[in-house]
Amino acid sequence: MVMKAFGKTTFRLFKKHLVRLITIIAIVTVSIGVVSGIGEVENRIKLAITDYYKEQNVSDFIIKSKRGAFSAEELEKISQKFSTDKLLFSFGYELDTDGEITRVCSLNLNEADINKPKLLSGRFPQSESEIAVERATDKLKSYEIGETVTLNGVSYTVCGSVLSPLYINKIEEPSFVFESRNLSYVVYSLPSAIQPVNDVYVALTDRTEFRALSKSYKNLTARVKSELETELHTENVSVLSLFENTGFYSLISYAEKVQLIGIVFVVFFLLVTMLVVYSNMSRLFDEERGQIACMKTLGYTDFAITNRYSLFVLTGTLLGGLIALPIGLGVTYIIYAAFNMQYAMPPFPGISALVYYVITLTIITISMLLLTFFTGLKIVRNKPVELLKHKAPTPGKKVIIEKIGFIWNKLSFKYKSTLRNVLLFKSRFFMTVISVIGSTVLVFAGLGLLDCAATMANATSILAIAVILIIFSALLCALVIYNLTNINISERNREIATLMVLGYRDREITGYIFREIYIMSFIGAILGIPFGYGFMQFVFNLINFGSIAEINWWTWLLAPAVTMFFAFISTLMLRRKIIKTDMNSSLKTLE
Amino acid sequence: MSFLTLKSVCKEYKTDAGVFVALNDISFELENGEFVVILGPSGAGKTTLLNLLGGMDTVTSGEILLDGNKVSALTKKQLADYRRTEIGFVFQFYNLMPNLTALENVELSTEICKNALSPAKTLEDVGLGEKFKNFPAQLSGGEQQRVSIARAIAKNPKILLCDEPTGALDYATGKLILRLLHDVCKNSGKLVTVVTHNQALRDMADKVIHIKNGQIAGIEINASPKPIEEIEW
Repeated sequence: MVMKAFGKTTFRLFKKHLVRLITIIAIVTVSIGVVSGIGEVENRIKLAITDYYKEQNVSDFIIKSKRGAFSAEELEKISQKFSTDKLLFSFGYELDTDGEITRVCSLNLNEADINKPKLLSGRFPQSESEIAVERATDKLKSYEIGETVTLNGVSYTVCGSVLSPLYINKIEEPSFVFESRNLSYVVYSLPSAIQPVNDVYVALTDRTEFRALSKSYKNLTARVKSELETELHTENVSVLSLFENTGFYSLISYAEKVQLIGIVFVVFFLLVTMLVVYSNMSRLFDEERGQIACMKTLGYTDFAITNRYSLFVLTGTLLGGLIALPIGLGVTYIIYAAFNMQYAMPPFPGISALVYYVITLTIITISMLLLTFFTGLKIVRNKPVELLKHKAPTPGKKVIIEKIGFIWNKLSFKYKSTLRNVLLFKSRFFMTVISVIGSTVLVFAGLGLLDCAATMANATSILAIAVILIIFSALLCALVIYNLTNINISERNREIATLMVLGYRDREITGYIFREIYIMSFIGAILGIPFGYGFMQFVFNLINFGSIAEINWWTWLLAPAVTMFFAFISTLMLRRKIIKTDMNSSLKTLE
Repeated sequence: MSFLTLKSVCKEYKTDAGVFVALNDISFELENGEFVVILGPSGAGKTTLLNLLGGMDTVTSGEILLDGNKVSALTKKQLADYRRTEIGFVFQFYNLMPNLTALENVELSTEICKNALSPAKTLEDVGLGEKFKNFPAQLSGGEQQRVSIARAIAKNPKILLCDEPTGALDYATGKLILRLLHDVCKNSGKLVTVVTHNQALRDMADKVIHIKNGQIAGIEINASPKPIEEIEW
């Protein structure tokens, strides 16, 4: 029976503070959505590339002869060393035709069970007069099927277009032969009987070691490489591992940059979210003083009472987390898809453990609960008598500016009152300014990354992150300011009603509240510039991408402008709430 | 015609349970310079009546005329101007701006009125000459109520409306505040209306309006009001 009533008051708590609940849901959705979305990208790329590696049976090494061909003795040594592993012997050379380099690989694509190529159109070569060509990318060129190509004086007919796992990169593919030049074409012809062998592709049997160029795989590669070089003599052979494959290596290192960005941003999103929820819950506890006192007199324990509010926050956080799940997946998918602009990406791996989502949700849920519990306990611990007493307004005090008489005396009350409020309520001032700085820095970081990504051709995936960061940071910024304005209005209910009774007009009253919001937002937005500078320098160093110099000058102004724009929108949206303040109930009761 | 006239004023509120009649067929007339007490138990409708007089709420039917102007016909915007220039309010809980000094609180109301009195002079008149620069939190309850009275009268309104002005004060302080309100009425010739549930105050009023269940239960005219000092409760 008791629990039933307890449940009812808890339900009504949700109903009464629906706007606050929605604010919590929204801010958690934004934070978890973006953070888990970005964080998950690296994981998905590594999963996809690991699967792809196994599926296509990608070679772990290419052993290249430096003397044009391997001797029979060398081939014997290689075969013995990798007896259980898969080997592919081939002859490869590069031609410079009118300044365009063509790499020719002689191997039988029909039978290739190492580096299995994907046939994009046409068919694999069936006679020695046919060639298949690697598909065109931003840098590689290709031929039409049926076209006749002359290589080294021999004519070939192009029969198909393929994608080899060794060329997943869409940017420059460096030549092995011509120093500091890039390939224009890669073609595949059938090997002839008299051909020597100068390239050996090795696919290790143990495919589990790979795990997306992990550390243990790196160690294994290094070990095998140094063994080979000793056994076959360094002056005769060069050994290339996947760490020297532009496609694989740059894809993984970009995925790791994305990961770092995600980790750095998690701190900011979390900090701002915490501040918003803290200020929101503090205000809620203030409004609930009477209710709390009543429950205390009925004999509910402090713990039970505080838990009602913990439940409130938990519900908001979990609902937000739930909505964030598809949003985070969407974010991951968009960034993953953006990688397609630079790499021939394997299909998006749909099923995965959602590690980052679970981590972010857990961190946010635990910190939210702790925050609510301790904020709540501070209030709930008071004696009912204390709680029922009218909470005395913070006493007015002179502020430092008042000593400068020639400025102070010229100000009208609205400004005097605003300045005193801004400077007196220090904790509110700092919380507001810090959360505005936080969201301005995030917007700035998104814009800064966008500037850098835009100047670099191969940064299309960073571009996608930049755009996503801008959108989510802007949303966060809007939520922060909306929430602070909303809290400010409910805290100042009585003052608003007093001004109404004195006959102040709507615009004068809204101005009284909003002036404060604008001043605090402005301070936060301006401070966001130096903090943004420091943060970006840190981010650029960390991910080894971009620089402060690449950030457009207008970005420095745009980020604070975005913040002020949201301050303006929030005040516009909350104008009605002020105007609708009920003078009677606000003035004639003790809150 | 009287200074303030109410003709068959009704006020209804729509609630979930149906229509609630807060005031029904209220008619009376008040004159300038009168000290009027509106008396009734809690829930009788006195505060609703005061809100209608003060332009904080609008009538459902009937008319309110102040100095020849039809208050009941004003729009929301016009009502703000009406409160701005014609009405001085005094509340039970003072409702001062916490971050403005006593003087600034008075100036807050005079700054938007054309025929306002000197804020400093008004504060001196209510006995707070020494405490211009104090913030509300640095004043006692009685002192805060004095600031609130000064704020109401400094704008030089046509009527002073007081809602339980001594409700939050101790007995002695309450009496001093009533004395002050009475003095304001008699010295400046303003119409002062005090809403209270304290029966004893009927003796100090020129006119007593009894409200019960949203209706007028009677109007008393007191030919020889007693000074507050002689009233005990």
